Amino acid sequence: MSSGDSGPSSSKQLVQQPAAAGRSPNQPPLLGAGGRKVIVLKSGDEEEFEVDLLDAMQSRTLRRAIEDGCGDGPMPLPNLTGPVLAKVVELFRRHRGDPRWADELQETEKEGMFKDYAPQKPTAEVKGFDREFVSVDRDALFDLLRAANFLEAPGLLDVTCDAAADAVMNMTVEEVREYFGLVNDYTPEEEAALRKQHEWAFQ
Amino acid sequence: MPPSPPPWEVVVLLSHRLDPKTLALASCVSRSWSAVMSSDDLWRPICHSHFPSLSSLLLHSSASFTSRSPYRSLFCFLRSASPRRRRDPPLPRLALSQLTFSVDVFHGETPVLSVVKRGCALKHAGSENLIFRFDMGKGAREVLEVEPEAAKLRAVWGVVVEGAAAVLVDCRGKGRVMGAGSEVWFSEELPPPACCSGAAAKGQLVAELGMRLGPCEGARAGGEEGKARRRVMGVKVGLMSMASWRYVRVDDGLRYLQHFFPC
Repeated sequence: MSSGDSGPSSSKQLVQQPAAAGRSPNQPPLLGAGGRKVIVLKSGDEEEFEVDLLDAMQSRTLRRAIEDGCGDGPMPLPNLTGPVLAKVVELFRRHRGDPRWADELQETEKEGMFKDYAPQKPTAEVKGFDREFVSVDRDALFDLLRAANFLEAPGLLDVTCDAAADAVMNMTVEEVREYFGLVNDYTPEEEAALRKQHEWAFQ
Repeated sequence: MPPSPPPWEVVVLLSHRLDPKTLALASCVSRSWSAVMSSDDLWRPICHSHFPSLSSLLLHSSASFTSRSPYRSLFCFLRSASPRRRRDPPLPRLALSQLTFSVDVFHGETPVLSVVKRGCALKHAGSENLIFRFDMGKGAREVLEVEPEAAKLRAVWGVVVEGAAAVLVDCRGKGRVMGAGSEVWFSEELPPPACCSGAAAKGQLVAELGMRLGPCEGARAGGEEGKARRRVMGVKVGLMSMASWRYVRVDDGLRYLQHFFPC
């Protein structure tokens, strides 16, 4: 779907910083190659990523910032690392037109800004990308989850939370403790009482 | 080295994606997880989607769901209520050893047989020791005139528990002579219990009292005036289900009997 018209490659590091000085918040955001609007995201470890403005809108946090006129210079995201942000930006690009949040975008439609952003059903290709996206180790998955939470990006949240939930879904209590590195701080009596109350779940 | 625990927001995010079963398991993981996984925000929609009308009914009427995390407690209660329906009835509070059985047989008004057995001395009839059918042994008076006067026989089977008694069989003249005079059987339909029980669910019960008879050594063969004197070789009592026409299980029999003996 989106591979043909991706515009500026958003996952590669941006070398030159867009000039932003002197622009008022009401001026249109920056234009990237091919006339698309782009913004720059800056990770906590000073890596910069160019991202299509429309793709960035998948994050409510970024959207608020853009609407508040913060999209002119590089937008600092100190709690995201470069590798995490690189993955996130790539997911935004692949999820362009995903109905899960494209509907939400249409509501904020202004001046045909999202006219080429029509909702589309996620293709098999996107689903495959999503699966690949979360095929990472436990800590990397948690980092992506936290990023999704901070960015308030529904698509990213769906993919990462579902992956984490899938991992937990068929685990025993002991396996959950092991996976999450948790210590059982119940007394044997308390745990027995809890298991009794939730007996139906253990069958 | 064990992995470090996940960041707090990861656990909270995760909790919103779990099904009730996994949420319940996750509550058993640790105290901090239980705090997250018991949130009403998680369980309220689950309750309302699984048990919409029951949830609102119970939450507003029952004090037991006003505790901490009422929705989780409510769901646990309702979720375990469904299998409870299929669960076996509770164990009877009467034990066989508390019972004393008595059997009296009269010919006209004359007692001809009398047996008393305590529960602990009761022997199961047959090889199956799970069914409510007992061998009372021989009576104190062994000689009995049976034919052709079965119509004159009266049989009483009583059960005594700690000073209270129930009469399960009191049959006059309704003995059925079977097996060419080698057995006499009395049976009586029992009233359904006043409240529900496993026995009631399986249909009405019949109390049965049977005597096995053998030839009487002292009597002349053929007897006077066609009367055959017979010796009682043994007495059996049991409870049968009218629905299946089988002896009930001991527990079902005890559950029925306890309706006669308020504790």
